[in-house]
Amino acid sequence: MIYLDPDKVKEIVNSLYVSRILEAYGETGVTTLRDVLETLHRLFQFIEPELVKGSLLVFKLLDSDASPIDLPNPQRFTNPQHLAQEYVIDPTPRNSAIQICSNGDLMFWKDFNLDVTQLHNRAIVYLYRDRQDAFFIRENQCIVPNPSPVYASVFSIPTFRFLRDALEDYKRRWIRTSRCRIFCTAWHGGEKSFRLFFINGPESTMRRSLVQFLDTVFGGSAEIRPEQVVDETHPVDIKVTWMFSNRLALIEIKWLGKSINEEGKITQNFTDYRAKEGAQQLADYLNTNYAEVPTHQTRGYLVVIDGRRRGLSNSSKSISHHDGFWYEDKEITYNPAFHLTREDFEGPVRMFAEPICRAD
Amino acid sequence: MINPFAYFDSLSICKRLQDTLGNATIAEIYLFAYLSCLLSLYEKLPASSWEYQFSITKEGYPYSVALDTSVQDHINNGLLDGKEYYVELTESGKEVYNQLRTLELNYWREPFIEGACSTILAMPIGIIRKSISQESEIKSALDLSQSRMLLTDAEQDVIYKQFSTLSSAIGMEVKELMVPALVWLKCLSEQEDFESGS
Repeated sequence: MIYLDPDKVKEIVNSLYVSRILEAYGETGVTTLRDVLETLHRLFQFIEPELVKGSLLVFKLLDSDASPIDLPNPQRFTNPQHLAQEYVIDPTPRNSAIQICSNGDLMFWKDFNLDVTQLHNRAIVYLYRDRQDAFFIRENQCIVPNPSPVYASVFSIPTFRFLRDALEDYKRRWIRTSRCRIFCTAWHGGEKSFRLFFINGPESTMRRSLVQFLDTVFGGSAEIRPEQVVDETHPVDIKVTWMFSNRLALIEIKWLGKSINEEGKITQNFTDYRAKEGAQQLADYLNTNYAEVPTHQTRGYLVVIDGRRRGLSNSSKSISHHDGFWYEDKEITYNPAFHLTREDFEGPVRMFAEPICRAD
Repeated sequence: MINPFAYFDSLSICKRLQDTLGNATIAEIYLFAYLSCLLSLYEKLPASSWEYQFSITKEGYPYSVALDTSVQDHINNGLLDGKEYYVELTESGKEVYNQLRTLELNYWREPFIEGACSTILAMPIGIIRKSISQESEIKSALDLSQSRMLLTDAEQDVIYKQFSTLSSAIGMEVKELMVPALVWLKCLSEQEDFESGS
């Protein structure tokens, strides 16, 4: 039985922006907050918060009958997509603001100079700046914790319906620049390293990173389980089961590059051959799985984390851009090409993990 | 036989999830129906007043036969468009929902459904599901890998006690049930962090 500690609950109530808004502005505040949150979700479908230079203020007046803020030169939009287009075509760092009107229209100021203290007593005010979400509640700023800081805003964390789309996002945001805090530790030297060598045996770290990502973005309908037994000898890295349906996915992860141990000795050197082995292994899993659960529609996904660098020896301490990015666009040719010959085998997803290169 | 409450709830939840996420999976409809039912306990209603029951699968997912039957009926009758493992409300589905929501039989349920579904505006849905899986009965079903009925009398007492603690901490009566829902989910999520040591 779970016992809720009253002091702990009180602490949560005192720190959560939603309950603080309730306390400060009453139920009207929460209703207004909901409108602000809905607008943020819609806006961040079209504006990538990572690209916001300067700050973005979004607010809605608590009094729905009040006139919009009287400031010169607003642009009025009925569709957040149109506003987003206007916003993104101008990459100049600015402090911009959006007012949500009571009829749902959006008033947009590219340059907004109003002191926020003039708003916080009569509006729900949200501020995005430097990868941080915050609400102004009376005179206090309340930071919104982000459970997945790879995404620049907590309100831009996506919900994916298709695994392929999710893996593409993982590749782009989590792996490319090693932004995932778990994945970082797969590099020898960790977060601060130049990302030249993996640690000895980085597989479980990579698996944990992908499981955590999928758990966050895959909605409330898919069970993500690491190391699930498919045949008698090998577990597949990750099994995704969509509840109340007959869909399954098997994900096999392979890494390419060199690993090094604490003594600085290279322990593995995996080339594209390793990815081809992974493809064969996944095809075998799919065959076994079909025999075990023939009524399920299963698809196989091969994830190849590519940390190859050109000309790397165990004494390498840095790398040039030319050598570091040598493999960036070197796609792997699979033979047999299961993804072209089998319906249940998705195209392999190669995720190149960038090094940090010396300036020369 | 179709349960009229489950018939309505499945449309109402699908509409709200679709507004934010573009569509809804069947598992999410069950999940948010269960959270809506829990919020009715926050308002001190007995679980029996929700008019249909929930069970938990051995994987830890809330399930309801009544909702399952309704969703299938909606798909068969063109109110929901079933695609792979998710569904979308059709234009006819929206019309039927708009008619049903005005009925006295249904409108009292809307604040609970609204409170439950609004949580997705503030929390990623994967985290909501993981938090709910920390709820006592779901957690023990998951630990033992057993399916069972949810909201038994004993469990209702536990939930009432939790919600009483919650209500005291919030310190005022609220009609906007998104607030207690998020506080409760945050409590469960911190419980999970504590147990997993993260």
